[in-house]
Amino acid sequence: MTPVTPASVLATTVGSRCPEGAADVEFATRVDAFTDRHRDGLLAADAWESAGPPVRELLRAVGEAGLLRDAWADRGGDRATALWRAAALHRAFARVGNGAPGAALLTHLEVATRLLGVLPTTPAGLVPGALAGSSTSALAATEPDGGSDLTALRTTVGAGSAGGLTVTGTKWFISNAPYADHLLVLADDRDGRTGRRGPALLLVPAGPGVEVTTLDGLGHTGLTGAVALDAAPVAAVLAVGGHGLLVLMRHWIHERVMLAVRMAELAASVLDHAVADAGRRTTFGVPLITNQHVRFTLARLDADVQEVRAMAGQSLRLLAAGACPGGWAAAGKHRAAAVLAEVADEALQLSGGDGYRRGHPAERALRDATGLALAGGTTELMLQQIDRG
Amino acid sequence: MRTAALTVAARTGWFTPAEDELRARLTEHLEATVAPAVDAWERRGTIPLREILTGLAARGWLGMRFGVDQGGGGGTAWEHVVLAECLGALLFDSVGMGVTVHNDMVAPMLAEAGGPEAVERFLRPALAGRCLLGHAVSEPGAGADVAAVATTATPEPGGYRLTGAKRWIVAGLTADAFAVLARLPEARGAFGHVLLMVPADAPGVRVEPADATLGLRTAGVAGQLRLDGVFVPDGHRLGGHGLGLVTQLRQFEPERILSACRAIAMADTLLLRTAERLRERRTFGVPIADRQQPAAQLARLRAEVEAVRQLAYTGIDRWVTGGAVNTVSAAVKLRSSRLTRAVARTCLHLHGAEGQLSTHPVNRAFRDTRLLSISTGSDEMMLTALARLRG
Repeated sequence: MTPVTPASVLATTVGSRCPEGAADVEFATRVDAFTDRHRDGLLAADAWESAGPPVRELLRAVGEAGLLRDAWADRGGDRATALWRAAALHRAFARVGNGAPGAALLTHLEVATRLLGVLPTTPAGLVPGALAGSSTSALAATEPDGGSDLTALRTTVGAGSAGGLTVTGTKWFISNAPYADHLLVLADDRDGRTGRRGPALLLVPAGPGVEVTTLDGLGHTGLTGAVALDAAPVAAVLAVGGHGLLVLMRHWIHERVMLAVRMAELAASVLDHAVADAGRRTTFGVPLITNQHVRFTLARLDADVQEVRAMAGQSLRLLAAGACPGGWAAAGKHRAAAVLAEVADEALQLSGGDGYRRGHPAERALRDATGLALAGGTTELMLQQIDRG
Repeated sequence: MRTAALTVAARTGWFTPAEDELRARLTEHLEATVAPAVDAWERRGTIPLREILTGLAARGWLGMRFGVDQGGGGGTAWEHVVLAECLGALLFDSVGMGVTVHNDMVAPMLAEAGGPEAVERFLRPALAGRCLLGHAVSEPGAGADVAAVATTATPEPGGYRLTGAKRWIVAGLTADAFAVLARLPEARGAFGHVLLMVPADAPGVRVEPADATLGLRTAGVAGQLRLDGVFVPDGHRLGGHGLGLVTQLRQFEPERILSACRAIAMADTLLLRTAERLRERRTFGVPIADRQQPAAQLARLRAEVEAVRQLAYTGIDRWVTGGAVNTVSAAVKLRSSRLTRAVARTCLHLHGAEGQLSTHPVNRAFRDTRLLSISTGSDEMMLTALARLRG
């Protein structure tokens, strides 16, 4: 018989061009060891259904394990390696505790810490503290009357005693705010007190003049807060008036890619659970999965999940190269959110009454997915950005 | 929609500068030789597939990934991706399918499972554009269920005696030779088939045109290939005796990824053309492109196109580096087919009354792309495969 694959065909193959290079086995092993160790404790799903999930304890543990530090590149460091490690971290965390602890971790590393890391006026010690897991910050941009439209800012910059600045206003749906030591507050500098007029980004310690209440939302249980700022003292101007929004617009490309990475893996995890469940459960005398409709539904979702994973991989490559267009990040974020919502909804349906139970992986994912279609840029805003390219 | 940045982003890291250059030259060639003639060919009802293939062959663009010793270019599947995408961008799948069947469905089986005689007799001339290859698998009683073919190859000294009927053969009316899947008389199951190369002018071969179809109207689709006691020598067999089905199925997997690349390129082009059209067309005093609803519709589809394209590239990479592609192949075939159909449907609608004209490219694309979910493995077969691979 003629060999099916003669040497002449094999000889034409070259090295992989996949975004994901050689697997960082050492780092992945450490992450696995961490999640295994804390699976039934810090990372247990139940702990993250309460109004006070162990966010600070988790960040401290992850920090002490060195996982944040090693997924971080300082200026001039190996950016690509660090990014892929961060992605590995978010993927692993999407698969434990119904993915809930991963939300807090992503906010910590990819939102506040990442922003502080790129801003030149960040006080020394803040980023090292965040990477050690001993402190955390939260980005406070969204306001009750201004979500996607951040130009409609009502929070304002004022003058404090001894020549300092203050901020006054209300923020809400601020991820990790209940646990934050510092807030990165977007505020309108109407008088140019930061040097220029316009939206400024200010570092505000969680202390006097800052009141945080945990919001009771559909998903992200215990993880988001409302922030009342009453002449809260500003510790540092991170971006002067007019530059605050620009800084955020650049930052959001990064955040959206990382969100897409996490959502793709969360969808994969929920789907894996649904497949296993459908193989286990029996209806009308046969396993649920023997029904063609069930098999086809799961197969269709499997294709969707593969698609958003592939998209996330390319997005990471572009991000590492500093060449990810805003429209691309928006496409990846929107698509991953859409697939996650679809997978969660179908998985809940296939699990029947059990899926409707609070704390079921699909139930939790469905609740979180509704917020993920809003957070980090709403679906509608993403579509506009895709349109712009 | 301004998508130049997205196109660059989509290709970053996947293609070499040489492949970018190939894309530019191929695009230029197809724009000059195919695009201007489409309307005339459509009116006439046929495409000059032989000339098209000869034109590609003359520039070294057929069989780019096959070994130089077989008449190929010694390159990689990535070059075939470039060709597939350039064909898709034509929005004229009679040409797209015709070239794909020849270059990426039958030629690979010859290159990978053909003996020296089959290579000399069929592959080498095919890669020079002189021997047009057709693929005869489907039968009245065997579509998606390939193993159920009734066409029978009875072994006899020195070869096989082939009898049966095949149907739905793209470019069958112009093909010089067909790859025919047949069952052995006594054998059953997966190891009871042979794959045979049959010249169109062999005694006992009769090709009949098909009834009119929804799309692929100029693809020279043969309705029937009748095989009446056709003798096929052993040297024209692809793969081992009894391994015809295995050889065939093995070819399907990578081919589906390449076909997905072609489909996605069609979707990509449709979205670009439609966005352009919406910028020009004004209603109630403003360009339609300025309205949020159609812009959002296109953006939603654009996000899917970019994501599915990344899945296709991932699959190609896995194939090129020797990894397992069964899951990704089924997934990307399913997604690209359904998505490209959805894109075509939306774009047809957004073209308004103009899109209803049979001569309009979007109308043709709508009709042509409907076949994507049926040919080379229906959506349902892909779902079945994915479900099986999922355990």
